[in-house]
Amino acid sequence: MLPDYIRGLLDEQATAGVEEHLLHCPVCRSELAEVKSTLASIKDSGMKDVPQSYFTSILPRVHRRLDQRRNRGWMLHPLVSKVALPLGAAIVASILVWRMPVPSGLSPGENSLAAVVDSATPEEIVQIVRDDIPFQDWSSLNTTIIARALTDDRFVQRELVEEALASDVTSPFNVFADVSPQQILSDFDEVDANEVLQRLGHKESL
Amino acid sequence: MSDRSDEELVRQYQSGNESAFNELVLRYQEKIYWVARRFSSSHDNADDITQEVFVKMYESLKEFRGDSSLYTWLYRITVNVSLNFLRRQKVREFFRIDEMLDIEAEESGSPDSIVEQREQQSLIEQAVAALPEKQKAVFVMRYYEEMPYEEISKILKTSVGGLKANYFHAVRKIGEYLRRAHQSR
Repeated sequence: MLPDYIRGLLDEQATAGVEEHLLHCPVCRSELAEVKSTLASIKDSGMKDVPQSYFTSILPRVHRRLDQRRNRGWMLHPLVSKVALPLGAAIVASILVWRMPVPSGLSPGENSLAAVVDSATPEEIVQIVRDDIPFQDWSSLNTTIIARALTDDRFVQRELVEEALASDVTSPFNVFADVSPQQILSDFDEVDANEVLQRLGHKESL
Repeated sequence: MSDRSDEELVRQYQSGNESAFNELVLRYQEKIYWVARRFSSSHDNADDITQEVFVKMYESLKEFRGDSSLYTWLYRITVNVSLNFLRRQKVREFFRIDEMLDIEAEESGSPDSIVEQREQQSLIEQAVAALPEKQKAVFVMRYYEEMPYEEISKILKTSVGGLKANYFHAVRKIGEYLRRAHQSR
């Protein structure tokens, strides 16, 4: 109750109760001083470092995200996005984790990979791979194998191609498949390929 | 922005007027951003969460029946998206994925007082980020939003007594974190 008491968030009766208790309790009085000092530090810290102009950028990007989701079409059908896709990713990840030979000399952290992968939902794993691959140097054997398997998933792969073409980041493909995004793109059917290119707006990549 | 009420805008959106959605985003974007920022401790993450909250709002607003205020409903979505984000982040950390640099880390040459304030702010963000998930959620909702415990209880499905204990422990842990950080300077 002390934090609420200090910030005046207690009703009259509770406030009186706390004050009565503080009169007779040196431990709580000392606690009160500490909590007061902590809350004062938090209050003084401000945390208003975002320029107001940033907020003008949110709405257009929300619409862009909505457009991207709509463009995924059938992939967003609940049966696909909530069942088939995560299930597929889970099966691939599980098989890989359990069948993967663990190279000697791995640190204890790396050996607990299976536990971490198990505790993550398939959606989380797909999301992680999809979101972060373009920024990473995937040099670890374990993560490379798992990530590579997950990118066999068509949806993830398409996202990767798009991101790689859009940002000129090619490193994931050096690690994953020794092929360029253009090569992967050429495997897409016409509809998928056109959609990706349309969204990117530059056919010269091919 | 117009002075139409939330209820009116929701009704308009539900009848097919998409511009009502834009108005709701503009109305709540700043509040939602700051809730997300307090959960996620970085601008980039908060930005991502904020967009996701409004995407979810777009997708679910047709079913909104007004059992709570729109802000309370949005707030619940924000807490859930933030908690999911934090869980994902834990896995990301295992995969040794570096976070994008915070925008504030790039600033330099500020006057001393501003630098000090930024350091303190950054310390507090770290202290909040280091809290266990539930304590963090309770702290953000109670401290920054002054949300009644009964409301927090509905969102986190925890007893009011448990929430009060969580909140107190969170404040103490933040205090300890700050003290340790200052001592080690």
